[in-house]
Amino acid sequence: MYYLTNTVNMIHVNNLNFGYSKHKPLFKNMSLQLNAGHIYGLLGKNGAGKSSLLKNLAGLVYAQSGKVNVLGFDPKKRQPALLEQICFIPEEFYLPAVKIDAYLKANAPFYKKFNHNYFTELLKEFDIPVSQKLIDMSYGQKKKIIIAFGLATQAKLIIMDEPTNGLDIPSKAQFRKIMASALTDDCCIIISTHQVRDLDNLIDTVIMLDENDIALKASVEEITEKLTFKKVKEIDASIIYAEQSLSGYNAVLPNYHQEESKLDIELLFNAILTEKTKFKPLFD
Amino acid sequence: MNNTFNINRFGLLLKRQWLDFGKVYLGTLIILTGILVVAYWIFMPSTDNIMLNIRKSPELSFRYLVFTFLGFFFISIVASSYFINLGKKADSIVELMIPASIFEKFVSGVFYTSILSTSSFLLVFYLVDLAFVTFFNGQISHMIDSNLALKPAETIVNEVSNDTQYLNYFKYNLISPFTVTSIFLLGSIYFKRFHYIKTAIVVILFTVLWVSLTFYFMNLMIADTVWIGNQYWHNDSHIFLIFSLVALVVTIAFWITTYIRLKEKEV
Repeated sequence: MYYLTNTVNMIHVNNLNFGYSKHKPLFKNMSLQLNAGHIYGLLGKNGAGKSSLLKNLAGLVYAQSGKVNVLGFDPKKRQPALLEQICFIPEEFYLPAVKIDAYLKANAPFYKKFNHNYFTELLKEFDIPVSQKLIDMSYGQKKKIIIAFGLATQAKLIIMDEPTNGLDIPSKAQFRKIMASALTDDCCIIISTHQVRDLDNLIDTVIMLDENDIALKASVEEITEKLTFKKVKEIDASIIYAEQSLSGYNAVLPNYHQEESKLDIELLFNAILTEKTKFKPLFD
Repeated sequence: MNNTFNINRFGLLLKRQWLDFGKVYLGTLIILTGILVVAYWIFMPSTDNIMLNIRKSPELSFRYLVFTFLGFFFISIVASSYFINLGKKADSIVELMIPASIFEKFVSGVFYTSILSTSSFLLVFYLVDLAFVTFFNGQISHMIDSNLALKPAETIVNEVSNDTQYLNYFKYNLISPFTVTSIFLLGSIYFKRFHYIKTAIVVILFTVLWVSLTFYFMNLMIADTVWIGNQYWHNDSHIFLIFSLVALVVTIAFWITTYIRLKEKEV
């Protein structure tokens, strides 16, 4: 049996230079390519440029130089044909003082593929009271509504900036489940967060931003092929990075013996930021 | 589907904008109606003081002042609140990501602020005026029956349409609501906070500067001189025509600037 993997290039970023001030560049000659059928986890310290990269992809900010191509469009032109294929869930958002029905009537018709049944299903899953006015809902409930709305648009590119902020623990689990089921072959999901644990078992590729560029872009498979994450009693020379824990150390080592281990995103995040030069040759 | 303008998408956008902007607009319209009613209530002449020997309609000239001031105030308030969402980060992302073209978003702004606000003001003013004039005429009808010299009051629409001079002023000022709304629409996207006050201050400063400079330079050029050219500029309607054309150019310039500002808006 042959499996044909049809990888659709969805986003091309070429030599992107961007910054809010000319003297303080956020990205220097950044290049990136993202494909359909993946859930990307965008990680980085505060101020590393996670939200700014997402805004560049959505055409909400303009780069100083370089090219951004999303689904064959230049996002800065803000053409409806592209906008209807992008679902952008911002960290801070606004909902008008109306009920869900009115909100839906006003906004859903812009998206040709909007799936009303799916939206209703998601609201049920998130346990949202449909008769309540949006403005009277809690921050978490509002967030669930815009997530449900965004997913129901059936957009090809789903961009989420800190989507789990404001969600309670059961809702975070629901969110992970829903996002995993939302991924299709022709859809690309990018989730930015600083709460790396929220992305556990959800993302298939990690993108890490640091020092004006991409510090790491690798699939979970590739990472666990090249690195192993395990608990050790003592530190030795083979360990690239370790953090003290109650029973010893949580360590990252080169995976010389093809050991199977579970990716610890938080540990990897800290490891890359601390020992960037040691990891670079492994993933180049 | 056309990425610049599509009539279905534009219709959807107008409906969507109504959800948010409609409340501001209707609220302002209700307040305007209230102020109009109060103004008429206060300034309408008392039927006790009607001069029975006059051979003309009762004097209702206060209406022109009320019409001008309230009209410009209303349309400028509406225009200065249209793009305020773009000054707030959370709201602006939602607005910019709505799948409609920049041109459609701009035209929707012009529709609500110039066309809808102006026409609704004219309608509300006409209805209030009609109601008060009808009531007033009802009150003086017995005097008209007994004194043929007294004529009933006319609605403002009748008064203007039956007077050539008024009609001329009206014709040459047709562009002015568009000029005012174009300035305040630009102010609503240019400033992040206190849109109305900031725009009003800029308009006042610019007007004072422009009038002073014009007066100064005209004085320099024509003081102690005698006009020996043709009489073209001695005709009021030619001067009004030039003013209208300048206002048209200014309006278009402000609209183009607003469009560019919307196009270049970043979050």
